[in-house]
Amino acid sequence: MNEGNQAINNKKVILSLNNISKFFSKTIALDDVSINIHEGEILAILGENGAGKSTLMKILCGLFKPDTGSISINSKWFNQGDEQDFVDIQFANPRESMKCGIGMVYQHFQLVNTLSVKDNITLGIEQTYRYTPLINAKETTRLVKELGDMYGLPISPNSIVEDLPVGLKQRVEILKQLYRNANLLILDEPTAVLTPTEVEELFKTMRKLRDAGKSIIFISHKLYEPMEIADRIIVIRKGKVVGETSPSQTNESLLAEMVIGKKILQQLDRKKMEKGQSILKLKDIYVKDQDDKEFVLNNINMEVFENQILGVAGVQGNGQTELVESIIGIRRLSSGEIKFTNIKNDVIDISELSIVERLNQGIGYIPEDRNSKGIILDFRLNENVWLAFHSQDLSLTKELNKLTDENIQDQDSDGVANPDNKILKLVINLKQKIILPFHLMHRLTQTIINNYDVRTPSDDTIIKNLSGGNQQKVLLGREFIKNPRLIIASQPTRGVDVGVMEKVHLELINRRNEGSCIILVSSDLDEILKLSDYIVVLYEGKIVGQGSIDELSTNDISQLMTGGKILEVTI
Amino acid sequence: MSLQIDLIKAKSLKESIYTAILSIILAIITILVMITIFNFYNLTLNMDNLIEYGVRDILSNPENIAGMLYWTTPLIFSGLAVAIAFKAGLFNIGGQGQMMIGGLFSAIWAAEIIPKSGINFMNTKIFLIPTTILIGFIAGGIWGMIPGYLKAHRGAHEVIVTIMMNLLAINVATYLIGSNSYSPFLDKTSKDAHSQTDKISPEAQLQPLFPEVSSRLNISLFLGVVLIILIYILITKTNFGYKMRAVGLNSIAAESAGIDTKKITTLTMALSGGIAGLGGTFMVMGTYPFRYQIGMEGTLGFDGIAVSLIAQNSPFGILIAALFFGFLSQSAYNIDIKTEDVPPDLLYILQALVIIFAATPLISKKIISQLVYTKNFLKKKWNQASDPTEEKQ
Repeated sequence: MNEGNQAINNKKVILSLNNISKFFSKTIALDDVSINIHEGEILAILGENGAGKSTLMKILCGLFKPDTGSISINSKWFNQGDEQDFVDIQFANPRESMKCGIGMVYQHFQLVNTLSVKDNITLGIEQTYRYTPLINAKETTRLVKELGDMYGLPISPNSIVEDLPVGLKQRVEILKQLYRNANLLILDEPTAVLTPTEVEELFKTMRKLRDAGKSIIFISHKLYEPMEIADRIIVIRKGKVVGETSPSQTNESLLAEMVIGKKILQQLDRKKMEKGQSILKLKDIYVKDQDDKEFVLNNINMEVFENQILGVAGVQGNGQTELVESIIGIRRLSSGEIKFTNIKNDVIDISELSIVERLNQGIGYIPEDRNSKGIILDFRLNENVWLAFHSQDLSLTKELNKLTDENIQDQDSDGVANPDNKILKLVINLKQKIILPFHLMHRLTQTIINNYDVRTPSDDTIIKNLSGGNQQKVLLGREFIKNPRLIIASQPTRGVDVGVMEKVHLELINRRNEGSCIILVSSDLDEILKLSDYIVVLYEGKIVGQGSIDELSTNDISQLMTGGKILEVTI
Repeated sequence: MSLQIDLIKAKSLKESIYTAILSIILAIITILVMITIFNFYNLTLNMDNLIEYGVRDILSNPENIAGMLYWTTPLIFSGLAVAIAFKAGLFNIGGQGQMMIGGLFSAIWAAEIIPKSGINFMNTKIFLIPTTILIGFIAGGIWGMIPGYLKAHRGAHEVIVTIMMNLLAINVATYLIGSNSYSPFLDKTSKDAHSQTDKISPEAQLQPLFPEVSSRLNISLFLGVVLIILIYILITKTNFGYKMRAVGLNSIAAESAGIDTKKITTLTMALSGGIAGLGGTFMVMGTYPFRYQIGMEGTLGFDGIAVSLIAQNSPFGILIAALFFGFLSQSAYNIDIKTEDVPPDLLYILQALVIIFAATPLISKKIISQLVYTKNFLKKKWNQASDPTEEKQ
């Protein structure tokens, strides 16, 4: 089967996907995809969001069934018999694919946080005393330890998963698959949650596994990672395999062209700008966690200015969420004060105000987790847009009307006239307080659709029917259109493809150039480096380093992000 | 609470209607199977009488129609109460208690406080009817607001608290009208052994609309229908309804956008409780013996959950679901008094089966998708079959 390829790699093909196609109602997710996977190689699969990477992987691990095409496996390799021949196989469910030795490590870990490492690893296939259902803890500990040592992935079997850093959690996931005799590991964007040091660790692990004869499929949207680790790279675009290459034959920009299908736009024009007046000033901020036990933010002091993007760098879970939420008012401060220069240029302390009051002072908020915090998936587009405006003082209706695109025609005229009669005025005010202003919602939404190129059938489509990128555009659009003084953008490009990401970056830079002040929180260090003027690094709720973009090197930042220490494994 | 989330999510109207109709059909099929089994074991059941008194008589006899509408009325209120709480993501199973408290306090207001105050102008229709309704609304509202407040500010789960509030309502009623020795509002002159208030002032009694047909049908049914329309407008067209839905569908996103979720939760529960309270009030104001008696509401408060479930929380669906339940109740009542060959419990079993099928949307979903598949398959076959004939022509 596919002898040419075999000759090049001098390795046995262990699994091949033959002409796989998959349709979802009318859209084609995968179109005639054929891929071979060899023994002991790291195969990187690259592609934009929605290119079909994850659909392909879901077919491989039994979650989806292909509409056409087949999967054939080397039967010896996959614990299916002794003969070295290819068998066509259909996976009815994930259990069957797992039985064949295909192990998937999901981006979101499938671990039970409150259980110990060994319990997580052996979950479902527990070691028991013979003839009893009782778990043999000693044997389990020994096995898990042995397994770790065998592949050079040391881990302490008895520690609780909850307490482990992300890198080690991922290691537990990998060991879990190895325990189940996985011969083919699928890693779905494994580096998304890791620090640079942890990524290095992961790559070491992957090399060790490859040397032990395991095959690995590595999914990523960062271009430099496959360049570093992969033996072969396959690029998928719009459900088709558009190319196959290897790191020695290509470079990053060529790869980027393959992924997007066109040349990347020129570098962002981040011209140097003098910072303007101070907009937000945090002074001695302390915030406690939800149980009111420990401080999650410790002595935060920072200041953001006009014409400035402040990047907050840090590994996820080191206080970024808490920082943003305490500025917005979702979390209460234990102590400290937040000074904000509002639209009317008054400096006020907003630390005692409610969320609405703060937002109305001129803050735009793009939450980190779009689906759970940013939008309401079962709401219509215009209802989602209205989330940012529901609390606006409704005498501002005229102002809001001005914000909207003049080309959008009035459908009806519930725009406010200017009545002299006091009673009439009262009635109109009351009406605006009580009744949803559908007309205004329509205009605002249309403006956002036009300005931000949202692909949607209409402005009252339920938003979950749009793609993630378009949802993000709506979210950004509704915050930008308010013309806020301060924009807090938390992970604004998470889960959007390269095209949308560029647009978002461009828009943020534009806002900055027009005088807005932006706090950008991102776990993607590249994004921070690309956009920020000034960077603060958070580690365990403290600011461990700050400086302008020219003062800090990438290396410094990634050192600071891990607390100035290289992550070490303790047993 | 995945059921809860599932229930408040946007569904197409078609889907909701199909689900409701299918669950009724499935329930009827199940009960027919049951009847067949009964008959097999010689527990004979007279099908003719079942059809005659259970269905035909109900739909042809004006008195029975009025009876059906009489049962429907409180179900509209208790169903709406559950539905509106669902819209905000809250599961109000305290409709029973809120109904009791609403009925009890409006009875106390109209039977004790006003008539015995001696202020004559207050004891008039124009004053007494609106205030009695209002008292019922407020009393039920407070009963609903307490769990809402505790949920919003203290994180207590509303299901637990509303259950406790139901028990509390019974005890409050027992304290106020249950004991001969200390209850302040017990009607001690009456000879029957009921724990009940005095008869409410005649000025507060709602007159039957068609006295010659039935004494039980009054204006409250139409007030219920008006309320349905108002609630529909509230949910879809107003700011408050918008915020309510936002909190129900994604409270974290709502909070991030600056909606005061605590206020909305408290107010929604208050509104929900108030609506349930109205159900109790109208039972007192419109039905003989025009007093509040402990236990007079039966399980109508709980039945509201079922009504709302079948209506998929749609306000207009509630009207239809309440009518259906009203029909079943009247049917059971009619069978009970007119024939001995049919156990009226059969209707209650049917009622329960409908609820079970409506609460397991997976069953009906599977059937619907199977039907759609079959339809498409047949269409394909039909086209294939018809194509060659066209070619021949």
